[in-house]
Amino acid sequence: MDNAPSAPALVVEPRTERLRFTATGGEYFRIWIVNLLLTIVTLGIYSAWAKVRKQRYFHGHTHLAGSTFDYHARPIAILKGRVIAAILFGLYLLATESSPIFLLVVVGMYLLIAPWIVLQALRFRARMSSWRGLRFGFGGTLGESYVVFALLTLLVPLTLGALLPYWWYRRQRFVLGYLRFGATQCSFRARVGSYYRVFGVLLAIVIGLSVIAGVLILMVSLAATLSGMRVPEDGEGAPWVITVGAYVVALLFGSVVNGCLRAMLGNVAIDGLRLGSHRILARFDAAKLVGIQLTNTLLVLVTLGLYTPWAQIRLQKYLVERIRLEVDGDLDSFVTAQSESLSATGGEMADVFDIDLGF
Amino acid sequence: MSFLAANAEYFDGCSSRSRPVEARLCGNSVLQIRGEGVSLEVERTALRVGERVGRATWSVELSGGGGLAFAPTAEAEALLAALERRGAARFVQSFEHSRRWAVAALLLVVFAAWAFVVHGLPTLAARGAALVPHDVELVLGEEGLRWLDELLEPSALDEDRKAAIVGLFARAASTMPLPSAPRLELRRGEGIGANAFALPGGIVVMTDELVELSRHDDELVAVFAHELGHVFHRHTLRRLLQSSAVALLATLVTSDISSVTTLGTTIPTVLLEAGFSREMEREADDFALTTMDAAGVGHEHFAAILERLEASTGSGSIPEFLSSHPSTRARVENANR
Repeated sequence: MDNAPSAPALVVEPRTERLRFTATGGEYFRIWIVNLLLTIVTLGIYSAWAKVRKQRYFHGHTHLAGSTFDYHARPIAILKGRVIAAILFGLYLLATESSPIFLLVVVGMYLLIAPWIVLQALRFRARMSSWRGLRFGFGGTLGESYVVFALLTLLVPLTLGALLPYWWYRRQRFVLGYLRFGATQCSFRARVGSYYRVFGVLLAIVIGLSVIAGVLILMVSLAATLSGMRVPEDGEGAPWVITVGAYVVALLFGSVVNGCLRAMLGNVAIDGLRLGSHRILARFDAAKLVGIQLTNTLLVLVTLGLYTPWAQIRLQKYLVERIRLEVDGDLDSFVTAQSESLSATGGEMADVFDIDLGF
Repeated sequence: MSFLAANAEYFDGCSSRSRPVEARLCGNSVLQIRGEGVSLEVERTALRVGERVGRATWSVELSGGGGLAFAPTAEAEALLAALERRGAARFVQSFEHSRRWAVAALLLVVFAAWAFVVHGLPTLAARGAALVPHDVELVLGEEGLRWLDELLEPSALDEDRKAAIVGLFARAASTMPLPSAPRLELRRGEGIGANAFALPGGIVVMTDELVELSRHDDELVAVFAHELGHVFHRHTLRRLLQSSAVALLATLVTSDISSVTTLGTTIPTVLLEAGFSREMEREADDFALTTMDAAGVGHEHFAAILERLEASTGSGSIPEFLSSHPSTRARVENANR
């Protein structure tokens, strides 16, 4: 067994562990429909419990190296966050419908508190997740959150979008780069140049799509003019066709751009991520992701929303299973962070915002 | 002695090492955890069974840190069922577990959605409309008029005729129990043809084509009365609130924010495509006939303009005045009664 002294320097092929996602649409449908019913019956209050059940289901079906992830949040904490979020959203709706000065005040307030909310959400989400009994954590600072989510958010429109790739870079660096698992820090090595390249490709796609859409609109309006000359029997059908057509075009356009963005930026960000000395790799395929999102949207619309659980599982499975971990050594030697040995009962956070951040 | 036992993964909470163990409940109060290098006795009160969701890995947290993860086997199910507290979560679990409950939940959700759209929304919209101050409603109406003007041309009637019609409108409106004085806007309909609309805030739009179609001023009064019925009951605002709520719901279901548009821009769509409900049209007709009685205008004028409008709509979209679901025949009969 002990052949170390005589053996030549072996190039050890690093072991890769793929994430696996074993949830099924049929099983999730029952959880989803019960969640939905109880949320309706309780006028939305149950949504916090529903969120925890969904997260526990998703985490508990995500496997890495033989073990699954776990989710530990208490619904009451999430409920508090939701109430505050609902009030903020109500204020925003009010603002958009009334005077522009009020809107300005609300937008200003939003810029003031958004960075803090984002930071709380990132911390909460990380700390509530675990793998093999070790919690994740998030070490980003409030100062950097202000730079990314207030200063740069303001600068992007002021620079007419020239800073958009840089903003995305800083955002993903902030959201992913400060994650830690136990005491092991993540590091974010993606370069800002890669983001400018991705946005260049995206710009080409948008221009290409716009040209195609323009030609289509020209053809449709031409056809409309021609049929207008023939005077249709009843003009009732025409506006419907145009409305539906516009929706379909917008949906296609949005899905293609969104899918390409998610896939390409996901690859760049996750490939640039290390957990300690382990590399994380992603292989998202833009065409595949666009296909999944489009068919999902279509099926959800056709089934009046009933396909939603299958759609969510299908998308999640694709996203999760395209991520791999290139293991350096083994995965048994992570240790807990000194400061946060969370007991089973304690460790809840007082103020919690629960918002979706995309990544 | 009977006991419950199941295989699990044990984590000590300090490192990410996973150790295979057997967890065994002895008696009723102590959980024994045994495996290579692991030998623990945990009091029932010192552990917490995580909410079980479907067949996703089940977990137990130990109060000293660390925990157990169980694959969803029958043994694990029996063991955890004995350990977990009886509470609402178990109730929900049994719901999710049963196919019959899933079907029942589905039917209840569909029923709730239907009831909300058919009964809840109109009620909410009527309540909501009552809360909207008049000047806000007027702002919406002006916004709607701006969008409607994209489809309409300025009126081509001569100034004397215009003034006469506006005077007729003001006189008719003054006899009606309206909260504020309404306003008439005359436009050339072009593609829209003979038509009249009630916008939020008491703005009534009438096309030249409809004026040309009438043979008696009292026929115009009948049209005004019907449209002002919509104004009186705030039908356009209610319809607007309903359709924007549906759009909002559709957005929530499909998570497509881009489909949300501001309220004012949807007014032409509401007026030209959605129309009012059968009940709203009946309310407007009733208002028209009652106020015509009070002003001493004969019902036959109402019937006459209705019938002429119907005859004139060979092509183009159906006028709002006619777009109601009750048949024109029924409405004419109602007017003649």
